Amino acid sequence: MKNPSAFTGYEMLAIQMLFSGAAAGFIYPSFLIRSTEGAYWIPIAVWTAGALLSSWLYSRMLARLEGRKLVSAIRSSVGLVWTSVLFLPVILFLIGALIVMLRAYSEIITMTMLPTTPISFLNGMLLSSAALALAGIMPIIRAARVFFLMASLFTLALLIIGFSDVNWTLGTPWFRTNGDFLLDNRFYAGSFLWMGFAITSLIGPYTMQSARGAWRSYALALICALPMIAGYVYLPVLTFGRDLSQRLTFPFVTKMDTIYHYWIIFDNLTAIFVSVTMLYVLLIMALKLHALGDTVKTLMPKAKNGFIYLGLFIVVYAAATFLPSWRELEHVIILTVGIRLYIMFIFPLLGMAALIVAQRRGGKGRES
Amino acid sequence: MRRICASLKMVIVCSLTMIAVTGCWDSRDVDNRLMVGALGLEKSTETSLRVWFRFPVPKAIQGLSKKDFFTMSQIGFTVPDAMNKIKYKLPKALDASSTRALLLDESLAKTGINPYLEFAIRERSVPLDAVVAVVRGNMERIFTSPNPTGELAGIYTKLFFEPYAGGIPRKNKTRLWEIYAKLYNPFHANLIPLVTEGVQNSFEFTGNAIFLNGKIVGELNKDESLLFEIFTHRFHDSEVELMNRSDVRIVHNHTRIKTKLERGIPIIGLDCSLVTTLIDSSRTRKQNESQIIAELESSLNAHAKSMFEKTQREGADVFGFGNRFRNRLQPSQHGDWPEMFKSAKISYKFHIILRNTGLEFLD
Repeated sequence: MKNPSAFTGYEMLAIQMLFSGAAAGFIYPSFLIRSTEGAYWIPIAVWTAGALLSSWLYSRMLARLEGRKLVSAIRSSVGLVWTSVLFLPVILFLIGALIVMLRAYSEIITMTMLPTTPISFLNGMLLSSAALALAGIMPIIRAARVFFLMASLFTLALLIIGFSDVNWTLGTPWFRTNGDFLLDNRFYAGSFLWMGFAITSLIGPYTMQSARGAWRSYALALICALPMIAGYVYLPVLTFGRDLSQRLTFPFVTKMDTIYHYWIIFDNLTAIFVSVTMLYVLLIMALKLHALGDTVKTLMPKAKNGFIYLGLFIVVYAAATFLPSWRELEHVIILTVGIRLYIMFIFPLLGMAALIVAQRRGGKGRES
Repeated sequence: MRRICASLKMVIVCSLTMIAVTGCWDSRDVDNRLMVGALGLEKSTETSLRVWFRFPVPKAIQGLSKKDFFTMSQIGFTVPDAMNKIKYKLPKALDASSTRALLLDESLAKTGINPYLEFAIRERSVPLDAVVAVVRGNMERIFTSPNPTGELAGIYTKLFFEPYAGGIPRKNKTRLWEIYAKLYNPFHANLIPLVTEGVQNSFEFTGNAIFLNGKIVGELNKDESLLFEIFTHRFHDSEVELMNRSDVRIVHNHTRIKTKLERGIPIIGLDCSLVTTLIDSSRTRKQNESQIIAELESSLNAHAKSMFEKTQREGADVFGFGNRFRNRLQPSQHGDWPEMFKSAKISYKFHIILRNTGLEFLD
């Protein structure tokens, strides 16, 4: 019998951990540190609750799929036009997320290791992700299992080494907050970190059991990823203090630059961090491209797979290359907050409504 | 036909991988680079500075000169400007990414170091773990004379401060990132080691320079520096304290810091436990154990008193006590900390244990 879900529990855990690694390490800490004067763990906890709520809404929606894929189930319920309207923001979000992730990673390489290498060349790394996405979900999952083992070990080691030169008094206030982050758009801009479940929901068929299992794996992955996310945010703050950390583009990269121990044979921990992050980023870009390609394919069944991925590659590559600067990239992340909040909380409700309507209609049809 | 198609695909994939190996915009062979070992910043005129570069020369290319380093200097408005201009004189690519030490001239440090360090963080050209020291004396002599112990340029200064080599607690190893972070932290002022041009040697340690807002405002002597290390948990290994009649070694210490804010005045209490051993007792005037401990305590109290007087007079919280008050102050009050530190009530208590008196009984 065919597996009713694209992922097993462990695979879901691996993919979600990789997602956190790809999203939390370089853009997120700077957004979070600049969003509040109070304790940093409070906005992280608020978003964790938000992520659990959003993924629960998704799992309720997926539970109604009865072994079908999300896009095709909604398409058969409300028709092609309404499905396209419903999924247009999702497609835009995924394209935007890909552009941001690709360009942000190219920028991190430019700022840390290869200052004169053209962005257009560095963006070419999308090619391998596109090839992986085109190959299908199974190669992505297999790659995820390998990358997860390698990358999580390195990340754990880097986080442990990151505890050198930590001054705990720099982390204060530990418990005070005035809720200022709720009025700061950078707090909402950080929402991209908490959307791993939304992306995997678009891939593969789900049943009631597999949706529940997927949500449990996601919740476990989130709990496992929290120390990593907290480490990326707190380790630079406990080293440099809040005032300098707020001014740093990649606080954790600069933190890695400061580490020196007689017994560490690697001179450049930043290069190790950036290389490990590449594993995360390559895989998550492949996953996003695959989710995007799958959605487009269902909406345009006649289009050839190869052409869909080629088109997506060209759009993402071109947009990521023509973004003029890092500031623009930050603006893109802030401007697309609304679309992300829609996908996290409103889209699953609308999807669920569409599926319920179709179920009722189907039930009535059968009765009459 | 299918076979031809498959081979065509293979050829395309192989050509794509070739694109990846050609992309080497930032590559420079190691033998085409001149790696900076140590950098020195010196005031040249009001608006410009002279940057000293010391490059190690590998044995293979020393040739007839037999010198394992060469030194150059360049005047510029900023450090990157000088680095840019020195390229006019160099046959190979300048590579500052291996810089081990950054020496700041005392006159430059007196006018302010803030404008000269930003490049290291922003451009990541100089490693953030490079050790930093303030130099009193002739920078040119330090940069042009050979290292007495034969180490490569930069390595000598690094070893001078590193705890695993010649570093002792009083030397207060300070790295570039620490200085830069404290320039932005209103609760923590910089304390940078001060070395003086030596007669027999390149330089010798003379104390620590107190900085406020990036400028030197005072100086801690060697004994006060020891107290600084003890109170700030930076003390490592062991350190010898010389007294009038006997010498003891401090082998372990633990300091508990308690803070509170009373009617706007910071109250800071330090409770310090020291474990010591005796290394030499005076033969001229015999002392028993309790007398040695009492003498050590009074000596530590005297050093602590003068250290806090110097730092509080200037409002320079080199200890970072202010970080403990961040929670109790509103963000708008953070900038007031130097003034608050001036009126802080600091008390300290020492608990000294003389663990043993060595391999000879003390009568």
